[in-house]
Amino acid sequence: MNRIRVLSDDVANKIAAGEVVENPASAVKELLENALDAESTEITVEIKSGGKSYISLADNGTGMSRDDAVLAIERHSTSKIRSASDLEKVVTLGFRGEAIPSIASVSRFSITTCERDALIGTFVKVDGGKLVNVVEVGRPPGTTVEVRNLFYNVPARRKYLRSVEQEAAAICRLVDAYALAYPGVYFRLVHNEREVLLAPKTDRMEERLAKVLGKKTAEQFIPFRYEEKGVVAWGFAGHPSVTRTNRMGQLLYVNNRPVVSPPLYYAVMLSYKTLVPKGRYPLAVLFVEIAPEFVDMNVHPTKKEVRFKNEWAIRDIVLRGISRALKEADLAPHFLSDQYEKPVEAKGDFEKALARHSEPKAPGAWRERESAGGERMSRQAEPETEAELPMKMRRRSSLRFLSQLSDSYILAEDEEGLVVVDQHAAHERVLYEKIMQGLKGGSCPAQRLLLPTTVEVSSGESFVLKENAEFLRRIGFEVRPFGERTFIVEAVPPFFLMGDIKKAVHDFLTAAQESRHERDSEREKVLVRSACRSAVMAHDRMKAEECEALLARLMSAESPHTCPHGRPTMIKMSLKEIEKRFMRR
Amino acid sequence: MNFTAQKADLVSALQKTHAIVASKSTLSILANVLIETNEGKLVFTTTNLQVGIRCESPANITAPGATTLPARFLFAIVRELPLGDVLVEVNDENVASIRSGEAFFRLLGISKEEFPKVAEFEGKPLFSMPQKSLKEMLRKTSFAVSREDPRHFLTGMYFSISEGRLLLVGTDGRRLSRISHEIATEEGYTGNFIVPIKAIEELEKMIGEDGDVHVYLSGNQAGFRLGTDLLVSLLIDARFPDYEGVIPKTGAVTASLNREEFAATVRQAALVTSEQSSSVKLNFTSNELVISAHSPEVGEARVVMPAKFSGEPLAIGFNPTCLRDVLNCMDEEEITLQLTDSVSPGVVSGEGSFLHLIMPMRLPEGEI
Repeated sequence: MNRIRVLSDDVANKIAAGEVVENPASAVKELLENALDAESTEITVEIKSGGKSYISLADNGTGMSRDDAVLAIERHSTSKIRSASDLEKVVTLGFRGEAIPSIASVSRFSITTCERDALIGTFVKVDGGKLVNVVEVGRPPGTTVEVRNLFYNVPARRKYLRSVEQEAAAICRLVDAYALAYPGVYFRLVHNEREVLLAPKTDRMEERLAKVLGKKTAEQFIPFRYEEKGVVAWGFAGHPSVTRTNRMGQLLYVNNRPVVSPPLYYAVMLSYKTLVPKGRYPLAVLFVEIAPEFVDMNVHPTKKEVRFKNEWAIRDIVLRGISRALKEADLAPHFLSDQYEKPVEAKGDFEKALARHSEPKAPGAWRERESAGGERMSRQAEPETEAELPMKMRRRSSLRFLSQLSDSYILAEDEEGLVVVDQHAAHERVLYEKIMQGLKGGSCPAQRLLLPTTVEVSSGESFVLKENAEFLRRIGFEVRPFGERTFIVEAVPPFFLMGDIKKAVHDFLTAAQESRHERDSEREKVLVRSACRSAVMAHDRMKAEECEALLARLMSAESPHTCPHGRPTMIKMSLKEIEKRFMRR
Repeated sequence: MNFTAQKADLVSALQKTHAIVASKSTLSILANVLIETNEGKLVFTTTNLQVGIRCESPANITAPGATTLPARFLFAIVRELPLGDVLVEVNDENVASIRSGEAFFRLLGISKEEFPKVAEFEGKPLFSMPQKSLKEMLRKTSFAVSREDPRHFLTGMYFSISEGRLLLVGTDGRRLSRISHEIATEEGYTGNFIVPIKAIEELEKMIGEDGDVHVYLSGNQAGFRLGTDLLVSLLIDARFPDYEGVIPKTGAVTASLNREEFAATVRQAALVTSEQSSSVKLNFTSNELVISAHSPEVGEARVVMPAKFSGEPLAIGFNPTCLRDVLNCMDEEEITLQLTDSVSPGVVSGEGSFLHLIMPMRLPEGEI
């Protein structure tokens, strides 16, 4: 049965032109997508020297007939689309018909393939794009593509390849990314004859997550699923206490295709706003499912970038999905947990993949990871179109006050063990939510001052202060001009009585100037944060009742586990961890 | 140094002095009490460098001398001893042997040379007045003083002396208490100083009903002599603000209220307020005072009490804790509340010189 046809020029031209194969990883990507499009359930990738000298990808997919296998080497030959209108609703990973010929033209290339019901398979050998020979061979159903000496005939390209480790890491990241999207497919990656990834088929997404990102990291993920207007956003939101310095820990998928998408990154960032510190990026595995006609995959030859028809709507859906999950989850980081002791174990950071490749390890070194299946995870999170993803909702426990440490921290206990609360951060969170709630209802309470304080500002700042006077009034500060550059503070929020008013005004001005160009709602949050911060600095030594009140208010806050600036408000040490430390376990 | 003293006398002296002993000071000598002998008496001194307390107790001194011993341990030990004689012997190494009945203790002390000097006040006091009167004045003012504030002058009690009267003012920025009383002082003397609230709190514990208090001033320290006890405090080095300017001269509304009823009504209305920062609304209408409160998380309250008042109807918000604090410190059956408008201070007064200002809180918008 022949399925492959050469596309008409019309179709071919519609497809954005460009080089597909830039490096070994992009070659692997094309081959991987072909294998997945061919309904494979087992994929083994083997590379040597970071893919520079050897790449082989073997699958158990549909395979190709002898004629298809030969035709596949010609440019723009594909089985995936037929006419330009098909481009509008691409459902397969590949569709351009460029990959195989591109790779074949710059390497010593071979295909061994056999259709499912065929008795005999085909072996096609190509050298620098020229067909060398076609012979009949025996092979179980599926296809093996071998790529040797990539770019052997393009010295310029070869010269610009990165180091073996870097190329290997890129391939590893890539295979990891696809392995996450296809938990029902067995993935195996071998580099220089050492197994780097072995992910058996599973119907449990958590299990796959644990295999790919490491068990410890996977345990920190909070599953979410949210559907609106026919768009489904689901996946796993990383714990805010585990962050990276770049976005490499954020894996985005649109219709199961790994993508790079600024609006989606932005949505993830917004969901974690106030939960992670500035300049840090949380981990996230995000799948967006959307009707193919609302998304354009054909922006870039590598198909990495996508464009949505309604970018803002998608962004908001993702934002709502993740924020909701984060609000419901128990976000207090556990200290003394293994991720702090042995950070290398917390894979997920793909830079670690590099270490995996470059450091020689005992043969058994990775076995441990393989067996690190998610036994403890019993949640069924594989999304189904109808079924609601069962949320792991831990009930918010209350904290029992124990003592105050060094006038800065409150020691408390919950049913799991010891909880150390940063009283400033906790206070900030409580105030922040209080003010934000007050703002919704119009304005917050204000206590008038018996002895109003005067504050002197620069002439530039006086404009900013006048501009923001109404907003300040709403959050409880009544500030009135009192001469050229002097202002008089006549009322403050009740909780601010012991605060340093002058400092608060100056902090507020700084925040107002820095956030000038942000959207109003964002700017307000920044300003309220600055007000809260100045309020809590003063009150250090607290009575037991005050501590208790603060804990109760904190636990009834919407996001009790971080301060508005994203630092944690509490860390936990479970009894288990304590017992471990005392070597009772 | 050797002495024999009654357990009860020792306990009473140590109790007074041990309150200000720092529990976790970096200076270990501050955890100790200085014990000196002086003509048939023992003199105990403690200090935390801001506040110092000195008191005396009778004893049978067999060998004069001085040493310092850990205050908390000494107090704990003496308190546990049976009633009767306690024999204390301190050797040259500052090791104290304490004997009483069958009990024997040995306590390690530190040389008295290391103990910081606590001022002595000799000569004529700045002024004198009955302890009872000062106690009363402090009770009506100290609660209004701020316990913590970057503006240091708010964390102390303002003492002002002029025309033979002592004026005390305490404020935390949202309320202010003022009271005055005549004193015995040098004619024509005028002056003022600010005593930290930490020292005032100790003074309130020590001050009694009988006898006079003599107040001394020397450099940046003030001394309060109560019989044989002495409290010494550093002063707050700041200028007290012009509080008189903020006292309204006349009020638009003058209400005469039954103090206990008013306090009870405020307490009832405040039951639905969840936090200290909340407010209650006072609404003066014809012969009635309606006190109401609401909090979004809890609910609402509305309580009515009869009130005699002059002037136009007025609504004003106050912090209920502030209202109750002032009502609780007063003794009169009827009190006067003067109001100007909803943003100016309310003035609470009784029969004497006592005056209390409370700043209003902004009422939530849209509320009638």
